[in-house]
Amino acid sequence: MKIAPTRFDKGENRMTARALKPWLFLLPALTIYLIVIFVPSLYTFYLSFFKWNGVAADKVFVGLDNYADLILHDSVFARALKNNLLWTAGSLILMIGIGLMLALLLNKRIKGRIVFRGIFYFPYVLSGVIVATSWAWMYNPTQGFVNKLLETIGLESWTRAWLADPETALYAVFIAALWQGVGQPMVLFLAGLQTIPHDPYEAAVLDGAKPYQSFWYITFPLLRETLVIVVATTMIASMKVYDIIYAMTGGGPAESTQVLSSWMYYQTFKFANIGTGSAISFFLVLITMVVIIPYVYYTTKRSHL
Amino acid sequence: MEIRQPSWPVQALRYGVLIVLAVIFLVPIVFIAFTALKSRSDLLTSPFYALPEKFQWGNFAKAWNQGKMGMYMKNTALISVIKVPLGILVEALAAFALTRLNFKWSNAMFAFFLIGMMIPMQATLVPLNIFLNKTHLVSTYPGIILIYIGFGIPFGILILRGFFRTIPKEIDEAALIDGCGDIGKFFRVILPLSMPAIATLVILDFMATWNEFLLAQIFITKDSMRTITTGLLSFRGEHSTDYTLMNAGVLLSIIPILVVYLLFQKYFVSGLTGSVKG
Amino acid sequence: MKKTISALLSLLLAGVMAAGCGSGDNGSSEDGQNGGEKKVAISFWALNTGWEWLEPAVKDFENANPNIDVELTQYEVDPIKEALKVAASSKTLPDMWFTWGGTLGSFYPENGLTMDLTQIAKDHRWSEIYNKAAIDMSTYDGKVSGIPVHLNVLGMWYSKNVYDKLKLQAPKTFAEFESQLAALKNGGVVPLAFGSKGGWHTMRLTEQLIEHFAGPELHDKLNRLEASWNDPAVIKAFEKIQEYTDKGYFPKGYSSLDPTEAESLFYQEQAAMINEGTWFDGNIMENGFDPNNYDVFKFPNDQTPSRASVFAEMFQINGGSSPEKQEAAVKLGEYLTRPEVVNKYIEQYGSPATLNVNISEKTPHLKTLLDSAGDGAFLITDQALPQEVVQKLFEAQDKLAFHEWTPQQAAEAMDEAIAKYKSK
Repeated sequence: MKIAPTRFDKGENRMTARALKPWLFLLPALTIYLIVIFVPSLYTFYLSFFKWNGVAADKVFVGLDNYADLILHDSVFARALKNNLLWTAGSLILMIGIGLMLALLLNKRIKGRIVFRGIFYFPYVLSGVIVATSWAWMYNPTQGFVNKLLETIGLESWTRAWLADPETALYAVFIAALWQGVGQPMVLFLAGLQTIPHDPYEAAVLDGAKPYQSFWYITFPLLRETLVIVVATTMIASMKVYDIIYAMTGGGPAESTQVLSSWMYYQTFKFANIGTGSAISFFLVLITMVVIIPYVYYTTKRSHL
Repeated sequence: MEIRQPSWPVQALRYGVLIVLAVIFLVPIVFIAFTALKSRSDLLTSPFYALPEKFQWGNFAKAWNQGKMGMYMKNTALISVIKVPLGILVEALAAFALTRLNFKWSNAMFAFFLIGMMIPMQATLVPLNIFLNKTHLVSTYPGIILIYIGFGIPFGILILRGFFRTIPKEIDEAALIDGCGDIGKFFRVILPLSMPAIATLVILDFMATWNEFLLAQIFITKDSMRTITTGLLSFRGEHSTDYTLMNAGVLLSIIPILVVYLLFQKYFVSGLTGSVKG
Repeated sequence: MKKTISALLSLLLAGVMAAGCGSGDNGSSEDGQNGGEKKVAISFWALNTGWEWLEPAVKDFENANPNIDVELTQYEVDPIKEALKVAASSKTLPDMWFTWGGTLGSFYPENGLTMDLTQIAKDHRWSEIYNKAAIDMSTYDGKVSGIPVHLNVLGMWYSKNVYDKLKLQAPKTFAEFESQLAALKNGGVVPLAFGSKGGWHTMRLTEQLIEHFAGPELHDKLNRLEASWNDPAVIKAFEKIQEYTDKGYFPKGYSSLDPTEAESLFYQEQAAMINEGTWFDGNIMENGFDPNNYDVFKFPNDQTPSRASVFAEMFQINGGSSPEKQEAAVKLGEYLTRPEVVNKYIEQYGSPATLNVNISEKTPHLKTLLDSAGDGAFLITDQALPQEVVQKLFEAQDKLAFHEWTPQQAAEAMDEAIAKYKSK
């Protein structure tokens, strides 16, 4: 009996089926992502070209005016952008640096490892509001822990109103954010360190390698994937940072701690400038994209696989 | 992990650094605990770092009741228990496609997902609200879970893709020889080897869901369905805030997160030990 | 505004005098039965903390009106503002919601989202039920747009202990006030317990300084954006903020101090005065202190009439809801603000806009403050000005404190912000 050839017998169609496969695996994530994030963002992007208060029947098309106004006429926007860049630099160096250091320290088989890991992860678990109020109270100029501590160890000249001085406010908030945030990179690095096989280390030790050489030539390259994750997350989070700053200073004093997200919040929710708020959001995305996308592509190429 | 035991001074240095850092990290936590145990008048008349005048152990019960924490915790647990595994599954399938299926558009698609992580949530509130209303999903668990999964996808794919890429291709070949199809490879090879990554994601994702408040406030309007962040916010009023109960409430609310953390951090064990040797 | 002031003069005073009497039945809304048996479900958004009486009161209402189902959602302060804005933009506003007055609440009537209650106010004789100031502050563009709930009056609260120790009494003139500032400072006490994080705490002083230097008429013009802020009166007020900061009359680092931290200095008797309102007895009690240890005075701005700063809170009703729902919502709103209900929950109710209620002894200063607005009142600045302009004022306050701006520059910045707002 002659059996009619099925679709999958033909070589061409076998390739189509194979080409289709990734899309099937991607389908759930893609669908949900499009619905929840992508399409709403497109709508907001669209709104950034209008002047609108969110409710009125007519929106006024203004082209790139919202963007131009922000860059040319909005001093708070400029300050916010600068603050975000500072915050990002600080996070990339300190948040990642300390997180990595903690992960390396806690990767060894030392006593109390679980307790230590828990302690460093604990602040990350607290809600932003509690972290913000607690640190704000610690920074209280007359009754706060920070100043009292400085006085006790004889550094009274260093005491100041940390959150009230535009020069120090952002950094003071950053330290609180550092305390809260290193738990995440630490956890990510710990997981990453676990996927590194032992063999290279054994071989290296047999070859007489010192610990720092092991780290630099074995650990670091193999942590590359984890590093991509941590750098991408840290940078994106730094550009989007909002909760802790808004709760600790409200963007003040004198708008000196405004960041893009908080200024966007003011524009959208307090001033009903929907177009401007949307434009700020997209600035944020654009700046982040311009750095992260090339970074990811670059590190993808230099894969060890 | 190093095979050679480091020398005694190095160990001491290690411990020293850890202990100093641990103390620094603990200090604010101790103060938070103090605040949770103070009375309101005590909080306002003594410094933040001072011991409670009288330990108000009753604050925890008060916070629990006033903040309706039992009900809210149940709701949040329900949401988390569905969202986290489901989200990870969806993300793992996608990451698998991006790393193991010879997908031509892998990098472009990854970049496409990653962009979603850069969007501030506030920018999507109105379109999402319209969507939920049109599909009658406002104040429903499917609605909020869908939204949460959506927002978790970029990060989940970022992590899982990263970890999948560290699994050598030789393993795939071995699986193929064993007769595993793609699905089999996915479930029986790749996922088990990614336990550290998945455990990490469970911990981080669970915590993010547990503490999420912006979307929960806006998209859940029925009080009986609200999440724990509502309970914590309820201590803040128009003219005054009860920080003692808020701190007590927060300490109670993070217990489940810590439990999840302790349960899953034991999975931070290498799945690749000795498996690469040819 | 002039009409308002003179009307306030008589009506506020009359209303407050009647407040102690607790008369019989006022609000004449029909209870229980109306014609149809059809169930009406309405959604209602309000605040949570401080409004614990709302849930039981709503249940009472539902029991009295079996054909009305109320879905109550309570939010915290910032989330309710966000939720309302998001709902307004997505056309999913509830049937009734709580909002503040002024430019915080004007967004909804200005964009045609609220029900016009002018006729209902006439028919139900609101002028006999509610304080006129509250009704006025719920009126936009001539249309009554909300059911008044709260009428808050601000004043300078002070610690009796601190004042007694330094042998001071509530100042009657501005000069007396300033001499007290110096005396308190010399006595080792921070005169003004202000925390300027968010800007609005200090603003309560700034606005009284402007009232003092500019007088009621100019002040109103300034708030209506009809006069330039680059005016000697405004500049003098800004100068005072700088002067007080330099002389250490505010707590150290007050620009970023949370008002709660300032309040704690007040309770510790390390600071003498704090500018709060009719709700503050509640604060004092909740924090575990005795309101009788404190007192309040009207800010002596040396003006006639001597006006206090006030603001109202209201329930607005969705203009797009079906007539049945609107009717049910009006019923609910009027129920929650009728004297019987107010009296039942008076201890937690806050400062009622409703007339003829029995004010609790536990809040002894409520009446004092309501009285103090009898001569006249102006809308609190962060509700009187557009929000963008308010934000500029907050920035100016901070920059004055650091001497980053001179008073002249601050005044100019205000004008700039106003021009930018007007050109929107």
